[in-house]
Amino acid sequence: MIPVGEVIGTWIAVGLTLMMFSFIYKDNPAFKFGEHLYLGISVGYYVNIQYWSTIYPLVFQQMQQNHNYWVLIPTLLGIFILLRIIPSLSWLSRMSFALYIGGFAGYSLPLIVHSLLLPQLSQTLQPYGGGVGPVINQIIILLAVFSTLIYFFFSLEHRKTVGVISRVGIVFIMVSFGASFGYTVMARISLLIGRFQFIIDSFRGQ
Amino acid sequence: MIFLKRQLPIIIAFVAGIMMWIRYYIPSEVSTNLEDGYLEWVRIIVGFAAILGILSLLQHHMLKIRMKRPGFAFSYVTIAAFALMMFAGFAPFNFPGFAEKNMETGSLFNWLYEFTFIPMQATMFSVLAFFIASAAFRAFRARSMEATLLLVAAIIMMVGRVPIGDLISNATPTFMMFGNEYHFIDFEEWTGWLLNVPNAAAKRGILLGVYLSQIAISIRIIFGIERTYMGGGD
Amino acid sequence: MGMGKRLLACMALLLLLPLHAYAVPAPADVELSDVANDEGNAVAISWDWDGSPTEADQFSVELRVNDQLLKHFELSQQEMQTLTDARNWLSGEVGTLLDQRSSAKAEMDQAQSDLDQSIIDKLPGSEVAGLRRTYWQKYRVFRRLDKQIAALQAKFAARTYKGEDLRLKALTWEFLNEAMRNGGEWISAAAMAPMASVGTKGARTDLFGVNAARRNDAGRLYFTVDSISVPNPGTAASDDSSTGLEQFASIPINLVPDIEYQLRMSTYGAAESNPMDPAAGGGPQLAEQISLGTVTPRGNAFDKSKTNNLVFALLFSMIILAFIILARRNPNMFIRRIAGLEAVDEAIGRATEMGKPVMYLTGLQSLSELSTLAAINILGRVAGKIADYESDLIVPNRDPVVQTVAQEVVKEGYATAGRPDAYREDNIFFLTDDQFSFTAATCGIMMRDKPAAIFLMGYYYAESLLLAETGAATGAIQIAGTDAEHQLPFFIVTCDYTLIGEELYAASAYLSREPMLLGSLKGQDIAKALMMAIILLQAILFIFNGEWKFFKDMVTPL
Repeated sequence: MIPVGEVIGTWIAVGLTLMMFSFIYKDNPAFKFGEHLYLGISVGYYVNIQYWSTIYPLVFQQMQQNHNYWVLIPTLLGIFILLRIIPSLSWLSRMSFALYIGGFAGYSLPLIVHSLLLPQLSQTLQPYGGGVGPVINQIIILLAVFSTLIYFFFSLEHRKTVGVISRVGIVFIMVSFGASFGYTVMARISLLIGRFQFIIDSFRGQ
Repeated sequence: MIFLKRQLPIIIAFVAGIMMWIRYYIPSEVSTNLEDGYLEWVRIIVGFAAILGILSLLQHHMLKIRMKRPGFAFSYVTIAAFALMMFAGFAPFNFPGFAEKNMETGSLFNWLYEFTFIPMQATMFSVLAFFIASAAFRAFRARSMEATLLLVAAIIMMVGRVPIGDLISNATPTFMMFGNEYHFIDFEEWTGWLLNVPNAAAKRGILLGVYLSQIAISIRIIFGIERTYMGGGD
Repeated sequence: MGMGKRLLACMALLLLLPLHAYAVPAPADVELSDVANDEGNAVAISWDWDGSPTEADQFSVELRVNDQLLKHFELSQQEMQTLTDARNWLSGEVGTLLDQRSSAKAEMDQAQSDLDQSIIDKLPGSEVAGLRRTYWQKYRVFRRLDKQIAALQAKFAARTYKGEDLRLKALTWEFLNEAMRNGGEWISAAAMAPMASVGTKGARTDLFGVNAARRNDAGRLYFTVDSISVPNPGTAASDDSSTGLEQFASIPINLVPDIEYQLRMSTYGAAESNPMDPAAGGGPQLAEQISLGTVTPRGNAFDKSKTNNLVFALLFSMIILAFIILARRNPNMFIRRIAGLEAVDEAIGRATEMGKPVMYLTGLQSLSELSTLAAINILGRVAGKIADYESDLIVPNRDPVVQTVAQEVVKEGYATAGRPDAYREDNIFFLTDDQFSFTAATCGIMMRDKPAAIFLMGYYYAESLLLAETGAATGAIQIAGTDAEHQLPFFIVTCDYTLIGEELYAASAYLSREPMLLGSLKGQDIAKALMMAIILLQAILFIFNGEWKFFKDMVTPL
């Protein structure tokens, strides 16, 4: 036997799904209702997540069970952010932002080099060999990387030679975007099919 | 006072930035603890900001109701849904008919999450497919040389990923080049080439520039040149 | 055939079959060393292999310790006391609860099977409902007891954790002591693994710019050992039936820095299954045990495998800082035209003409994402212009931290433009943290307030298309800017102007013409030129048969 809660829940879910879908037609009261409901629910969810998975275990439990009072420092900094509401004390929030953003800048700098910049550079450095086809491709890649980089030169005026090269760069960029676009279009269609499947299955009582 | 308001934040950003940067190169427990501890602190700091979010939400919708702006009745829905979620998540008892309290599986909170939040989220995600269709239509009205290039590449990719692409390819005559046999029209070959050669290369050019910009902005933050995020005033 | 002949044949078969299969090439020229990029809890073994190992050839590593290591895990008197006290406390607290829980579980299981049976027997609905109620009652009793026990055990863990897990430490000491007492037993350090799976040293360019292939050791096998496996001996002291604590089965313990370990390698060949005795045959059989010598892991202050990272990070930072300093002396640097930003005035102007607001999104990422910071910087400049044109500005946010910073930035923008009175704090608000709820609400605002200009800056995910398409449908002028490479095509198709990748970061320099930002931009150009030089140089070297791989090694992260 299916529990009552699940039956009611599924009907509500189907109703809400249809409300949100009505957005495709045009803005209407059903969508407005769904949108505002979704907004309230999601903010409630977000606040609960922040409390139960961050503040409660990392602050309250740490102090009660492990007697770790170091967490009072970030707690204080968190309260500083709240002081933005009081204009005369809002400068205190700068301490929190400085630690948060300053620390993150230092944290991400070597990671950008390690996992983003160097791999891209390393992949470009390939041997020019393996037959006529691969060599031609390799030269095209070299051309594309160079012309795209030239396009992003901001201190050079895009005239004469630089202008021509950056035009080539924009050609490569557009072909690249076209390929990504076509690729994603096909992937997204399957998502829609999945959602229709849900509605149809629910009506058939499966 | 000027020191506290102006210099101290810049000093904090510098010290925190340099410390987190250097720790990356040091393979020791201290460095790992520093990283974990820092990320935990940031989670706590940002966690408190949720209160600002609540205040902003309530203020925005209360104002809408008080001013009787168009559609203000829907603000009641938002506030009610928010209040319900908060009550379900924070009430220290089990609701009748539910086996658990707070956020655990089997609680009212979880039920609400499963039967309202999840389906609406999934629906908005799947609505994308309709919009991609209209975006594709927009792309078909190519107005410039660049837009035409984008369109041609997109059409090759789209046709190459459906069965009809294969049918067309196999129907065309073949020719020999560099010791390999090729079809005159071969969507599978073309899509692979498009993805691996021009697409990969142009992306590389774009991304290398982006990463350099990110390094530059990080450096400007660490050295106190970039400080918009600290807010203005005195 | 006589009895004797039959026996002889059997013996010959038994002798020949397995012995032949055990032959495994022996490791030669073994070298033990410290691993240069760890905390001092790993050692490395490298060796030449005589011939290429087959799939079936396996090896394992064992180690032997001296009492130095034993001392490391020894519990002080005080720690021992803490552990004993905590254990006694727990068994006192939890003893009766454990019994109650097991009886509650039995009752719950019984109630569940009664319920299941009633459904199978198709009993009347009221009876099933009664049984279901009983089941839920039992379930709640069980869950409550289970939670109480878990809470007590968590308290126990908090008491016995003094920088390291005392229970684990005691267990490790017990195990090591046992091994030492038995005449220095060999302890397993690396489980049996196929030799073919071991990496070669050539695949690990541990040193910056040094190509292992050039040192003629590309073919050397390279293996790191970083832990010993401590099985639970299950003696009385570690038996926790009175506390209900989970028992460790087998735990890997990291090697301890600055302690000497004696290493041994065992090799295994695969024996074919014996037709005379199918039960005994097959699988890996020990072929040889080779003593490798002694080695001491050391903690390192610098991870050598990250040398190239440090060099590039420093190099690029220096270039950028240098040009920022230069720009202070020569503030009039050139910057090329960025079409999307030329249109900012047009878009805001149109909003003023139509009496409609301007909408600005800072992306879906938090403030720590650098593209969000770039979007915030642009917002400051755009806000100033909007104040000049006397339009309204709406900024919905996904992150309350970003929201507060956006408020500050806009307020300052209005103040700089000389119109602080026009600033409306309520227009820069927090919507929600959820990606699609944010999208739905933002699209709702777009459809109802019909902003004349929409700015989509920062980082976006799949929702980019929903936002941009809805905006386009309302007829707004849209200017997008993102470094999210998967979303760029959608913005290009649906928006009037798009800042691609680096242009987003360059925008604040372009709009403000602040010398330091322009200098930073110039520094980035030089860094790009440097990368192009590296790519070009390796191509030239390759064509002229030079050592082109030097560059690849240099930029390959480890």
